[in-house]
Amino acid sequence: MNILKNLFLIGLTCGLLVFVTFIKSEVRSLTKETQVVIKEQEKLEEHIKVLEAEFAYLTNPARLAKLSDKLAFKNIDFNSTKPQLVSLKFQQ
Amino acid sequence: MVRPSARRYKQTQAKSQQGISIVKARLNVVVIAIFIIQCSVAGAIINKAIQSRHEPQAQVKDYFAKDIRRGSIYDTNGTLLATSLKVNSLYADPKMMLDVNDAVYKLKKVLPDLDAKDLQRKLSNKKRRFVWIKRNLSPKQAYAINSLGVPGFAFKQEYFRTYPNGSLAAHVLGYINRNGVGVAGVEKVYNEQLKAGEDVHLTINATLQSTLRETLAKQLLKTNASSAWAIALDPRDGSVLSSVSLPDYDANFYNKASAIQWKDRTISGVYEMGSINKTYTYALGFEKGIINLNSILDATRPIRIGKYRIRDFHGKRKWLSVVDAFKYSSNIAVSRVADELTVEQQKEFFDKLHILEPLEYDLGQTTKPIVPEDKSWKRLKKMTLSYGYGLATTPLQSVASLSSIGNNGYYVKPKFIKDTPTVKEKIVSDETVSKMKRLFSATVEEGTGRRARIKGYLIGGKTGTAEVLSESGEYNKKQNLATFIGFAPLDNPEFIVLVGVHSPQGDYRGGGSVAAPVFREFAEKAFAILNIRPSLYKMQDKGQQILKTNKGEL
Repeated sequence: MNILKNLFLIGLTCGLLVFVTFIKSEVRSLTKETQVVIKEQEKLEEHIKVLEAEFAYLTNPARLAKLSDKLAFKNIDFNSTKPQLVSLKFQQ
Repeated sequence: MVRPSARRYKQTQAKSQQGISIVKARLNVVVIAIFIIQCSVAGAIINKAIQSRHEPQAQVKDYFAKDIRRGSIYDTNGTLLATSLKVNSLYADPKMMLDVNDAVYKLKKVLPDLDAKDLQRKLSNKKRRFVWIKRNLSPKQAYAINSLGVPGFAFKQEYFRTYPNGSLAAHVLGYINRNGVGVAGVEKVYNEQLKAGEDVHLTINATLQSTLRETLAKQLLKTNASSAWAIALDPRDGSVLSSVSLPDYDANFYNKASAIQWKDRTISGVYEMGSINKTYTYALGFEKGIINLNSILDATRPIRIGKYRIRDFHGKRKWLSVVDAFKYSSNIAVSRVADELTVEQQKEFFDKLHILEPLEYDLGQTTKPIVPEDKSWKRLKKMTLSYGYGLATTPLQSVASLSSIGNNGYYVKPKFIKDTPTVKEKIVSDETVSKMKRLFSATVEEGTGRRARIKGYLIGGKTGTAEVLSESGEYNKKQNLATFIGFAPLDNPEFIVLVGVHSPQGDYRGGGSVAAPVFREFAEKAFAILNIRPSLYKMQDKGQQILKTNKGEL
């Protein structure tokens, strides 16, 4: 009986060890996958930041103002739309 | 009768039974011990497995903790004003260098601005294992250096702070030092949040900021002035839409700027604002019932108090209505109003307007204003204060206090950060606001502020021309500060602009000639940017339709 009991305990321990080793290897592979995803995410974030900065530089209000002058753009003249904008309440 | 052999046998058997029991007990102890050890080992393995399961998260955390990207700064519409980008910095391990001369020769081809002698000296020092060669390389440069294949060169990835709009709102944004610590402006005040990767959203509108800067810079050059500043504020919630101080600097190259460029005059400069401060006196006069719109004031001759004479720049030498006195900016008339007020009333009103103490706002505190001492704050001081001499405030304080007239009598604390809650307090009554709007309108329509008129819009404002104190302590008639406060549109102000130009040159150096045109040019563009339609209806004043636009009655 004692031998059986001991064998059972040893078997149980070995089983546990195998199970734990399996879990550990799973965790390791998941860790690697996570790290790859994190690096990818980081790269994409970096690209987004660079693009955002480039966009901000290219749409710099001073640059756009110069471009607007070059192309002879004009401000919206609200006076030209005056009659339509007068509220009935204030019309005489 | 038991035989002796049988007894011995029994004794032996009893002994062996006892021995077996002892062995069994010992075996059990050993088994239990083995079991405990096995359990401990298994427990340790499980614990380790669980720990390693948490490891990736810990690694991620560590990764970001080590290399965290500083948060970005945006304007009110989400335009990027400051951000951090990853760049490569080049360093060398001199011990790994095989041929220093060859390395220097090759590197100079890629980075010609490097000093060859200095580089040679750095790389020849074999005792050192790390020397910076050049930080913040462009991707092209990093690629070219990598292609050289010189052993001993290596890269370190770092975050590089960049301001894509250059000098736009440079004073508000501030800058960071080499260690990534904010040392001025938003970068300094919000250093902890930015360091933790959090973004900051400002109330500044980048388009308006650029427009105001360009307009002001143009006037600065045109008038050959020494410096200039301007602030545009939304009076409804105190949001600072733009804040400009010239000369300024490119935030990307802050270390190349001088102290004159670093100075943000809107918060750290204190100035006697001149006649725009007459606004306070008239508002208090209305509030205390000393004057009304039908009052007339004696401006026939200068007021003499001891040796001091209060004179008018645009002397009319006659009795003036309150409207005329304000629109022609009569020092004599406003002094008459001040003379009717007590020092305590004046002091209390200034205190309510937060111009006697440094203003605390969401980016810190303004410079301490220069306030008259109690013992000298008597009749004469009360009068000089009424037209803007004797009290020096920062432009931010002045625009915030004057904005209460454009915000139905509510003083609103100025703010630069979008999330800052709005703080309001009622300072003057609605009746006073209505009367003050009448005065502001008259100044722009017919008075000293005519150059601020904009076709189709109701504009209100007040000009100011203050002589500047010289080093000897006397007012210099040749140097002045030209100021203008403008409300647009006056019937329901959506922005208020305070402009100041220092020591403009030329024949016309007053606020009406120098500062008011800046307001007009900015406001014209701002109306289009903010989609503000013309003021096509009349302002109600005491139930009478007494104001008209410059396009005539509608």
